[in-house]
Amino acid sequence: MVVTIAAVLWMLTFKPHPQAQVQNRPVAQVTPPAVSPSPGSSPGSSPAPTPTPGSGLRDGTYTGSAVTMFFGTVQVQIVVAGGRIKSATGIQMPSDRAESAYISQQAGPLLESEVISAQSAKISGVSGATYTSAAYQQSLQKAGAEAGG
Amino acid sequence: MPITLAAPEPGLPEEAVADAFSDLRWVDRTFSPFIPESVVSLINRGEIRVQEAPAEVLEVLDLCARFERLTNGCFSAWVRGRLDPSGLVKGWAIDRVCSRLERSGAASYMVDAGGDIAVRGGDVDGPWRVGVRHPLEKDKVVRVVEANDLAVATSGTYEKGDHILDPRTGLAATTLLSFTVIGPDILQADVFATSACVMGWEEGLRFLDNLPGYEGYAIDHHLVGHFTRGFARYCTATCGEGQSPAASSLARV
Repeated sequence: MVVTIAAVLWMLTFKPHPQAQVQNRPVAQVTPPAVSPSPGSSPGSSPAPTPTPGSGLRDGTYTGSAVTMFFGTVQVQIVVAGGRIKSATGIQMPSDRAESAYISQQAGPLLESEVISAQSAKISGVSGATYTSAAYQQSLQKAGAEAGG
Repeated sequence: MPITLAAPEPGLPEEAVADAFSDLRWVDRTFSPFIPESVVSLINRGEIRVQEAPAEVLEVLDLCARFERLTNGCFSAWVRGRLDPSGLVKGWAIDRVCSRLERSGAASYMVDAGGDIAVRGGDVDGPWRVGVRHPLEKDKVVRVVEANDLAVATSGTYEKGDHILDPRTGLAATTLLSFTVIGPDILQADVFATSACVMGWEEGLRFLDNLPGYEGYAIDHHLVGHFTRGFARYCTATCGEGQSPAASSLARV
């Protein structure tokens, strides 16, 4: 039986956004006793800036300005209800741009023979650039400013 | 940033794991440019001078300066006049975790900090297997690297906006989707992956070709892969090794 002991710590502050943990085998995830993730740092939590209670956010839907990413544009929409940010949604994703479509078309023929699903690869870890979506946060901050946060 | 420690049975000593995470939290509090009270933030606000920083910060800045010279300025802790040593600190922190685990007697383990991975010893049934992520599809891997003792670091611009800046110009480096470096040392692999993204694939692979023990794998924005000559030695056959027209490699260099 494969037994792997894993401990997971979410260091959200070092890079601002969480990334979905890739685990390809059964693992027992043990959070060391001393580790207490700060509130709101659970995996998949919204990277929205936490408004202080009574921060004066006006209810409504606000749209941040589009921020250009490497090959696309990200725009973020936040919904404020009861003075708190209820949801943050990326409303314009990189695939919106013609340039990205071009890149997608190239994806098949060149890499297809090499690509395998991470699930079937029997691997212990996946090396990749950390998801830090700086553009997303930048846009979110602008949407928050518009809401009066 | 998720950080994972993994080990085959009997696992890692609990105390060493707790120590490792405690150290990582200290590193985060000290070096994060996103924490207002961090030493890095204090320096950026001019509240303390660089010379007044704790010894570990000076050590990191000294390492950054050395890598800045080695990479002809393609790596730097200072971009647009602001201090951000993150490009080196992650590898440095993983290295500290590895040292702690070794001191505790651990012979086999994997440390994965946000996609930068150091492995030692081996997994339950053989060498460690580390996938290299497809730059556009996050549940896919394009290579599997197999090794007992190795560091694997990937930098890239996917999903990150204009995150990797060319320190020489202050502008975003946008020629590559990702650059993976493998080698004996996680700190150096991490720094070289970031630097190579700034250099571009040709210069980046040439740079690595001159560093004994290090290999590189670049994916350009047409999703074409480029390798140093020795990279394939670490890849398993199950991942299309040598089948792709993309595997043009830098073998002619």
